[in-house]
Amino acid sequence: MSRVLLCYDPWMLARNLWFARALRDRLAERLGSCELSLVGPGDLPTLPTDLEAALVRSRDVTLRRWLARRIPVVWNSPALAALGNDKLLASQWLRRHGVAVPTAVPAWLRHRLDADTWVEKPRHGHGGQDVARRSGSDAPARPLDHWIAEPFVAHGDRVLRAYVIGTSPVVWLERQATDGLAANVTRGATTRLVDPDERALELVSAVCSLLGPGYYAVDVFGHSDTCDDWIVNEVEDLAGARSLVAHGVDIARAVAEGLAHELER
Amino acid sequence: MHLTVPPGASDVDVLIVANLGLGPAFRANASLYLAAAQRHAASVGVLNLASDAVDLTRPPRARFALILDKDASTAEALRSNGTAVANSPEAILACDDKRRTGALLSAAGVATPHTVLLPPLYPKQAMDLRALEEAVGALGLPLVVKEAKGSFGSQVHLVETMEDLTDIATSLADKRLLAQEFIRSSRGRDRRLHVVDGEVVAAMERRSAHDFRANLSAGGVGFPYVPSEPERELAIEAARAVGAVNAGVDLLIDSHDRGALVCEVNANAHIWRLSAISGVDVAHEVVSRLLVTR
Repeated sequence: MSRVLLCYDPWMLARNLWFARALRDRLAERLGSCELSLVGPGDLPTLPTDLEAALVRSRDVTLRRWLARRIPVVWNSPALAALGNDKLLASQWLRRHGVAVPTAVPAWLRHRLDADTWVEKPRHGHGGQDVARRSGSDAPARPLDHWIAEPFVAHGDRVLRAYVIGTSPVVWLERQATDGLAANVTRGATTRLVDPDERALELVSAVCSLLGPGYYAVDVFGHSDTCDDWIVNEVEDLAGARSLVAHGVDIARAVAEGLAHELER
Repeated sequence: MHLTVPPGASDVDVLIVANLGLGPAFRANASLYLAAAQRHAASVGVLNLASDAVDLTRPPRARFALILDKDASTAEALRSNGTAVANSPEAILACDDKRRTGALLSAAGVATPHTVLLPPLYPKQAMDLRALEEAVGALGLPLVVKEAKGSFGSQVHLVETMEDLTDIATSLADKRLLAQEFIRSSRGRDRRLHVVDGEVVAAMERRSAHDFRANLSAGGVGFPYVPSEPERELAIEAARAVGAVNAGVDLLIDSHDRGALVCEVNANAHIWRLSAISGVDVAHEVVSRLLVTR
């Protein structure tokens, strides 16, 4: 029997209570024990010391680092929290590690992009919120460093999201934008389960080996006319589950299984 | 039995190492880094070099130490105890000695003003005037004389005549000097690019109407600046050449054929003015980038 902490912050719990319950139930089934905790700064010193793993559903990188120093297995790692919640950092970090990504620059350096059309997005945003297409002559609407600019990719409205458990992609979802820009479900994108081609699988596997184990998502899209050459759009630290459940995938069970494997290693 | 938050500055995620006894500018600088670290790390400590002694048999230990001072010895002590440090002692030493900075930049092929190392003398030794004549022959007049150690533009002298050069070089003979070509087109004007882990994260142009130096602390005024691609690459190369992962790189502007030239690299550059002028949260950039995999 393993003691696992399922760690939500109140905000994330309010948004995803159903998934928290599913995770709690599946972890309890698979590992024998699961402690569902709401952890805020005041709760940190009172955690039990015999925890073997934590599954964290909070974007707070400070919390992640705190837990990672005290619990042997923390999903996801602080590095994933840092990269998954900072698009500029993730893009530059992945590029430095040899991963194909669109060139991302702070919006105030938009002139560095050799692109007639570009996309402006919040550096720490999620769900496609406030993503906007701009033309080359536009000044950045938000010139401060919390906004980034990327070249507009013609096929960026069709994204393959690889859901990763451990260090392997286990489910692939194609997300097709309905607004021609952001392939986010929260912006109305449609989804369907797909099998990846070899190149997409290879790319995501390379990213997983860099990022290490966890439950997260890697978004890729085709950047050539034939869409057979893939680049990484972003890494999602807190991969959701709503779309998968809609397609009949019991992702909570798969996460519990993956965490159990990690603990057995 | 319960976990407890680690006490004090020992065994923390991030340790800010700074001398807080040097006035408000130094405290403002450290405060920005401290605030950024608290947004990214679970526990943050401060080692105040103005008041905290470091016992070398048990130096403080942290996951990561951000060194905001020129004290390479403390950086070395922390590193020896398993703490990842930025900047490294080697980078701090390289940047704290303008002669060494110049040698490293030159060896790496980084564009700099033409530089001559004047004889490194010891007390009681006198400057050989032939060395000064050689420097003038190579660099022309006016030229710039810099002491190897100095900050905020102090210990940098514009020399117009051979007589002035002789006076300065004689009076400062034991200071370890270098002579540098004076870039006229950059009089009272330079560009500060802040480089973190191989990326330029912020920049500003500094101008002074009254001084050949453009340092803000010497009366210069800063303006937001978007660096060109060659300037970015030059700044990144310069930081790499001295081994600094958190560096303020000063570029001079040669309006003739050479473009930008590296004036100096600061391993403990103040960021509070740059942050205000550029609009970039430089401390956040430094901390988030250097902490990613720690």
